[in-house]
Amino acid sequence: MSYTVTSDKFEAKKKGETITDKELLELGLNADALVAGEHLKKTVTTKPATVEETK
Amino acid sequence: MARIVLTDASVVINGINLSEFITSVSLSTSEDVVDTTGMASAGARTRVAGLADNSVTFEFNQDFATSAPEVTINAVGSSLVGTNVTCVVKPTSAAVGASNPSYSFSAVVSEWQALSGAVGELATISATWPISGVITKAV
Repeated sequence: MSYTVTSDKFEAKKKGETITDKELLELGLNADALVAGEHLKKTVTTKPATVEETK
Repeated sequence: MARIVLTDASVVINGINLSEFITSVSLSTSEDVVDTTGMASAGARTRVAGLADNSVTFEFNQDFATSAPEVTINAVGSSLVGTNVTCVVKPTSAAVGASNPSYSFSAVVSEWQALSGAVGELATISATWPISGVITKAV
């Protein structure tokens, strides 16, 4: 899981940058609270469609 | 060594810089004192230090806007109240160094006042949180 920084008060990264669950864990930060507080936004990753799925 | 008047202390809670809302910060350490007095203590108590007990007190100006204290500490759906939270405080917002050490710790958010104040007064929050474990100082 990764997140886009949406707050200019987030110290670890600048607004618009991406941070991963692993990085948040290493920093000891609570990802759920940061998302709920609108400091981070979950990044939606789309899996490329396979040939089988496009048939 | 220069004395310091706090005008620019840095307070980061769960990775969010809330310094602009902080009006006071106090980091405290006390040690249990364990009595070791025995019969051969020459008539005076003897003591050794026991466990350290750390706490932090923040005073905030409350604000319900985006990126402000209420949504950072007490967001709907995932409040930090009742959890351990990583905090970092520094005397100034400048880079960490010998004259601007950082203090990092994990505090238990044991209390929060979402709304506190009297008519005509600024809404403020005073919260004292016990610290779990040691305070790590970096210079």
